[in-house]
Amino acid sequence: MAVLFNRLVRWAPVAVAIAMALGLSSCAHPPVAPWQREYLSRRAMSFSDGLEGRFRQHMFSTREGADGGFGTVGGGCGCN
Amino acid sequence: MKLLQHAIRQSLCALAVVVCFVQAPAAAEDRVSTRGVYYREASTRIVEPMVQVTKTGPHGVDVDATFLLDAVTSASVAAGTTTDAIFTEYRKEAGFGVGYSFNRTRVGGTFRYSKESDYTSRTGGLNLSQGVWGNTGTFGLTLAYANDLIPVVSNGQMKTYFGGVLYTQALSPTWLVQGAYEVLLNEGFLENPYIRVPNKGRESPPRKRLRHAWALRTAKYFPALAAGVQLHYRLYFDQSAFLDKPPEAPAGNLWGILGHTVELRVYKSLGRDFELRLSYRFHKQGKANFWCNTDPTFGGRTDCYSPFDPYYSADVKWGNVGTHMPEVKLTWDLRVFRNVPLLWIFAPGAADLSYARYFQDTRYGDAHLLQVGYTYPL
Repeated sequence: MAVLFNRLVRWAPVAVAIAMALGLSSCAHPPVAPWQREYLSRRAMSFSDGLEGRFRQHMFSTREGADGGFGTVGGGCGCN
Repeated sequence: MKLLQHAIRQSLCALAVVVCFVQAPAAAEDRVSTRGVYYREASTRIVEPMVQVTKTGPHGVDVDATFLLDAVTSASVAAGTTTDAIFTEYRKEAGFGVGYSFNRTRVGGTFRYSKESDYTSRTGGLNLSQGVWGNTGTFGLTLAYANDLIPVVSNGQMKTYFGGVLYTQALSPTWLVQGAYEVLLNEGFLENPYIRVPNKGRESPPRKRLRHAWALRTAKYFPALAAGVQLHYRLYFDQSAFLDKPPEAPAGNLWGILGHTVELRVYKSLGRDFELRLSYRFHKQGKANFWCNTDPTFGGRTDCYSPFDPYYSADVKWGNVGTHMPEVKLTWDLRVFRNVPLLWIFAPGAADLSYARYFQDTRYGDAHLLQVGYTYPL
């Protein structure tokens, strides 16, 4: 299992680069035209939780030892 | 009551600062967000008012400012001490960010300062985002450094180095996907200064920890149903493989926590002004390799660490943890107030109310989480 995870870590930049390359080098038109983005602006389509997510992540970081993955770092101790 | 008064006073001060920003002309992403949080579990109560202002200025410059106050009332059971005293502690946090956008690129910097009586944290970060493929995709890169000081102990300093990449892609007018990878190195004082390990004293975890998190998220909207669905998955694991270890340390990965988190969200519009969100989050993690359970009430043994173990901790968050969190949230676009005297001022914004039950299989027990928020477009 540890070997598998070490490989995942090692290949992470390559995976990201491939995903980028696929997106950037595609000859096809973009999948969504500017006038087709009405639904993408709905709350249901937003991955950002703003202040709501800020408290949640702080809470999870003090109660679960496996937090992370949501772009936040820093904050208080949460040790009381 | 004193706690609540203090929290309200701080909120009003923050709101007064916010109102000063409201005079400027409006832009698409500009808003003031206010939020109040009440968290309650068996031995801890938290009241947290927050306010955030986001404003785009001329020439592609945007700024944001955040202020929050944590008022934590805690019995010592959660803190791991042996007495039963109840105390209240305040944490103040302020953050500031500035960015510059040109074409499809945005570069920015952030700073966050958090202060409580026994813990001070300073975090600085740089971020870059780039729109790609007709602006249907966004690539993001974040680098950050945090320096935490814990003055109640002699060697109380923790440094954190953070790096994250993120890619979001619209696959169709109703389908979004996002992938993210984050790596984080903690170095220094990682323990809780108040937790005591039976027969050992203050905790002594390994002083370096390399942490990885992969996250995949997808969102799909169904126009015919006026509903949307989101599914999030996160894989977490940490290691200490390449880090320098003292000779007495056991071989292999000292940390080795492996965690899985899944969250499902369902959004449904109710009429013109309301939206209901139902969500369920599940988290499961294994214990750190150096950790053992010292709590007899949860199947542990107080003598599970030998006198020669160099690393030991009684912090349950580094053990086997399973949590469930169902949540319901209602968002109300307040346009109905636009012709109502006095209340018309709130009409451009949206209010929300949410309640979550946080089930934990650790000694902290189950918790209630109540949030109320209001967002006003500038």
